[in-house]
Amino acid sequence: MKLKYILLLAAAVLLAGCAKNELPLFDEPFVYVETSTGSNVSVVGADMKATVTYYIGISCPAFTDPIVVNFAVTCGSGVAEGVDYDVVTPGGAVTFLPGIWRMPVRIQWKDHAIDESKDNTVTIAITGTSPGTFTIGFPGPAAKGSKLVITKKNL
Amino acid sequence: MQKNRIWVVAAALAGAVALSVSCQEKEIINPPSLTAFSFKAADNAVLSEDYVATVSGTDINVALPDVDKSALVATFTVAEGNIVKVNGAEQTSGKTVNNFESAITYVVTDSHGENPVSYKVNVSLAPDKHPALTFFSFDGDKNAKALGKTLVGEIKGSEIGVAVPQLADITELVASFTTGAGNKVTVNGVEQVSGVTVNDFSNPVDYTVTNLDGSVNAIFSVTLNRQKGEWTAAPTYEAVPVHAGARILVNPVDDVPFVAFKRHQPTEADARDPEKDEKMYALKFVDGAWQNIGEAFSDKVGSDYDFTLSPSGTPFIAFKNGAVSPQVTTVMTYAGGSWSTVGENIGTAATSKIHLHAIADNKVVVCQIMSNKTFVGIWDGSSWTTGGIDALDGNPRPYEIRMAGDGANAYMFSINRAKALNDVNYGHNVMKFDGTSWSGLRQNYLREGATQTSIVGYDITVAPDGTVYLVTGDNAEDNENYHHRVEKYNADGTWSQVGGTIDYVLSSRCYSKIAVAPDGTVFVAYPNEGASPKTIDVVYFDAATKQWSAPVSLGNGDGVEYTGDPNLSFVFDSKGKGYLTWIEDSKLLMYNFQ
Repeated sequence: MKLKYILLLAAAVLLAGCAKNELPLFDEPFVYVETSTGSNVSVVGADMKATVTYYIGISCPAFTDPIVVNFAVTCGSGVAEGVDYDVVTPGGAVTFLPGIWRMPVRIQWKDHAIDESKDNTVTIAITGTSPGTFTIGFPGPAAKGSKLVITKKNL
Repeated sequence: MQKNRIWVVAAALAGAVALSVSCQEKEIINPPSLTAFSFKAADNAVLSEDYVATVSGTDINVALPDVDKSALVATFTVAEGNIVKVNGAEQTSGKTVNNFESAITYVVTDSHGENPVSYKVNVSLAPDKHPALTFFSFDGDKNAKALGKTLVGEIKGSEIGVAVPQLADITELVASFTTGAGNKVTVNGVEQVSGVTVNDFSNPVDYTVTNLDGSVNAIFSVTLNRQKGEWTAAPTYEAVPVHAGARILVNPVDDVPFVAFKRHQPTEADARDPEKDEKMYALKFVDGAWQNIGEAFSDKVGSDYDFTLSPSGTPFIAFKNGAVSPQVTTVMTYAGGSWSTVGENIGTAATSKIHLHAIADNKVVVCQIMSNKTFVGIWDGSSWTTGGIDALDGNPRPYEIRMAGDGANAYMFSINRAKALNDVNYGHNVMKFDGTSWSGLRQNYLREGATQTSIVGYDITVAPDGTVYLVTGDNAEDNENYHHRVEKYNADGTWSQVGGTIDYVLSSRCYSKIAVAPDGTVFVAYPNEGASPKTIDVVYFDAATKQWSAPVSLGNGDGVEYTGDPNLSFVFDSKGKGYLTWIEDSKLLMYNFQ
């Protein structure tokens, strides 16, 4: 009889424990931006003269109509478009056709020394999607991947 | 009694006749009807899945992928008793082979071969489920002015890399490519024609491949990588099994490459040679072939050994002597066609992580770990001086040691084990020995923002101009992924970074090597554990773009992969020819760069 009560108690504790560890389920479609190695921050040399590919990705069920993701490239006070970099990908938007889950966004970096006391960041931020059902950034409070911050440095 | 039997037999016969007549009267003759048609993967090797046709009246429509349709087996269902023929030949479902390259007619009749009905089988092209570029090149005859020769792209997933000459004009190139039948290829919405359409490849070009009905698309990014030279495979050394740690160096006097290695002891008992296993061997690479210059010339070698050449080309090896107890370090040299010992018992307790560098024939420096400390031996041509490095703050417990140098200085790179000093997690040191004394170029250093210095992905080298280069790994940029970072030590006593971090996330077995060509170009080689099959990847720092190049992947394609640490060794000769070796299945593989 005692064994029966012990087993019941153990089961109750186990169930209660499981409930406490239950994680929130994130299953909504989302869109993110990252480097080729999956990072949301990056550093480039101030003297670099090369085009770097970054990526906007989507996570959602298979789709049949194109999905458009809008993005904006902005910079801090220490750098300027046309002087320190050019945005190669035109139009501020990428279109995902059915079957495509990752689209390149390219920035051509220019050799131009920077003042390290200033804000020398260039940010690629996702600004919206069409259809608008996508969460921007990975689901969760941190919204990781909603933007990619690239810092230009005198290496 | 006899009469009764006769009556019984007669009655039975009459009944049988009556039954037979009755059955004949009820025979069912099914009208011709074909109700199902398919091609099953199990019956057709060219198909990866089953393809089911739609039967509409007497039309049978089926979409098949772009495969050889000249010998396919169809599975069909007809009414019971129906006879099926194609061009007069009777058909068996799931058995008979036919050519479906063009429409063919199945004639179905009833069981008497009458009332024929013709069913026409129409085979169309199925949309490609995995649209892709399967081949990509720039043909020499279509790009004669810009390239003059055909360059074939390397397709890795959705990335296509093409190695192009340094000075090639890549603004107007004609690409040739192949894709599945029915697919459409576009660039920025412009349909591409293989061998015809011109594009500017100054920046990567994205090719979108769309299947027949537009239901699936794929994007392939073509990037042109300007190459300084070409890597080619050299003869593999497999005369005896090679153990981990083999090192290649080039004689500074005559540019002849040398390799020293420990003979590997095979796992199989009957393959062992107790007289030679685990002893040192040395080779030269002359006129495209390996030559033995020393065979089992040492005592048995313990877990660690290293090899160096002095500026005058004299070889020295240092190894953990497995024949003595405790296993301390022995140093040998090669002169007059034979090997001899120049130092024994370098240490008082078991040693490990043994490395050496010869500033001169009479100035050889050995750095190693002994009793959890860095322990050094210096040979002056006649005797050894041993001890710690006074200039190394706290002589913290090392995790790993590497050495490099030239004819003026020896350099020791070491990583401290865990928080061995001042709570810095795996800080690293670069110490310089100028032939007389030691000084620190960097001590217990951890890059700001990094969790630790990576315990893979590190190496040190000295360029022909005397500049010290260091490759290490850290996660300072995102606190997450570890990347290679190359730095050089400047004449003003500062360190500066060479380019950004290398675009590869360090794996747990990323044992890397750094080498500098005579023109100052810095190369880094590393095992690409993520590739399948695994490759050795090499990147160089492009002085024009100030960016690390796309990797060139090396591998002999024999289906055998290195396991664990491939033991890379990498060096350039005075004319800029590169030698990169690694060990795979106890064989020494070599690639040359020129």
